[in-house]
Amino acid sequence: MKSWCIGRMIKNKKVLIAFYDSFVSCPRPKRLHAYLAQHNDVTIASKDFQPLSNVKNSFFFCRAKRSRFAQWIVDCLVKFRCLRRVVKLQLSQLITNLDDSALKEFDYVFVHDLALLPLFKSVSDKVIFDAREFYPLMFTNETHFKVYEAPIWHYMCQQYLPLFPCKITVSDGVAKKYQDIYKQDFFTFPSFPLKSLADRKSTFSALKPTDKIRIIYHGAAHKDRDIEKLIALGDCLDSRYELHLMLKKADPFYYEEIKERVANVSGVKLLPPVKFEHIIEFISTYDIGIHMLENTENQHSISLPNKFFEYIAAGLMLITAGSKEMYSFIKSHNLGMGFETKVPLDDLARHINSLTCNQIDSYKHNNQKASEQFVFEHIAEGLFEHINHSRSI
Amino acid sequence: MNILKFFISFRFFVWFIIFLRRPTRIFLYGAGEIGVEIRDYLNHKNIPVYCWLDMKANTIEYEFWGHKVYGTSKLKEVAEADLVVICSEVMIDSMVAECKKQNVFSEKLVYWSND
Repeated sequence: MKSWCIGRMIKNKKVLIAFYDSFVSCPRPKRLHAYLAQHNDVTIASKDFQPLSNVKNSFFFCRAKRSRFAQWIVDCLVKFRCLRRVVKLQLSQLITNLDDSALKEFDYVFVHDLALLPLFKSVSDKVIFDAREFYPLMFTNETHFKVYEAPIWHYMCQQYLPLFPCKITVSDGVAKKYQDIYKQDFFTFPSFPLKSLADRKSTFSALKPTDKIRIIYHGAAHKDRDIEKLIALGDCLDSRYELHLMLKKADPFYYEEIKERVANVSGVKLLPPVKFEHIIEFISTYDIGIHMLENTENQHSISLPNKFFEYIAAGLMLITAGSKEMYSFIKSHNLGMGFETKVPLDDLARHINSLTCNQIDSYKHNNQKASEQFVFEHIAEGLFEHINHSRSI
Repeated sequence: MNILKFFISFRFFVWFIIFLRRPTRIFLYGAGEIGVEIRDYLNHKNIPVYCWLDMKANTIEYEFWGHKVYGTSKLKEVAEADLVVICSEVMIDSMVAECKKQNVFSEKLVYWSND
């Protein structure tokens, strides 16, 4: 499903990018904003509650909090499948200064969160829904999500996806899932980084036999990211290797647990996160980028996350497990070591320990070449060609 | 307090305290998600807010949602019959400390502690 092609750039249009998070935390809307703001009047609607520099954030979203008793009532409604009522309640709790009259002035409206879609029904012909997740499978490894949240997402997909003709998503796997379950067509638009950020990577330098081989994992400290396994892996690697974890404190308590584990393992280091714009530049000083998404219950097997392409842009050899999408990319472009499913720790350590400097350099070299095509600008115009084509139907 | 927290939301609690105490002026301290929620709720109840404060405005005051957001030095203006609503879940201790620094003591504060 290779939908990328060179098309026409949009210029001098009024664009709204809406997402339910803060601007600094969201790479995908951020990239879109950076690209479009060069030639268009772009406004964002987000969870930012003060003016941002160089970004027009005229609109905001916020959700009124329920008491625990009220939440218990909602959970009961979900259990009894009164989902229409639940969605209505959720919408009533959304606080925003964005209304239908404000929406009419925009030519393009990018909506990055399913929870926000109902707000944009009046301009559905202008909306491009960017499904960054396969929502009903987001956190199915957590019981609470499976029982109380997944049904709501499923209901919203059923009710709202058909109302919006133009939809995009991050990978072929996610697009196929939406097609299989909801019979809805999605255009695949992967999360390639901006060329300006990709160009900041260090130049390639071959590994010397005496060099430490440095492995990096960067991302949020979430329980479903197999970070414990990464730490255990660090303990199994031979002395040539160093594993660095650059983690964002998504869950402060979990982060403290991770800190304690790392303190007991040599060869693994915890680093503070760097700003979004400096990630590729920073990680390009490493040799290998690693990402394990081994939970088979949730959407990991169809994920193609931002960091995968950040590793490619940084020219690192890749080691991944669990995601068939990442595996497919690695195999087709010879970018490193990919495992289609979960891999036992001992096997993984054995494979990594058997790598030679020449092999790692060869993968890094392939990545440097491949990264030239995996940039946002290369596929963005194709996206707009698709959008304009879908509007003309 | 825990039983209260189980049954009612913070915004209802704030409204109820305002209803009971009938302050002359209301200061909202915190212009993040909870501050927006409280402001919105008070707007719906036609309860005017005198002043919106946030630590982020200590460097430079700014405007948000058509309202000016002031730095915490504005707390000096809090008078006897006024009320300060602390709109935060995670920074309550530092915000209460800031209020005390500006001579605004606990009897004028409304917040939900983390206890």
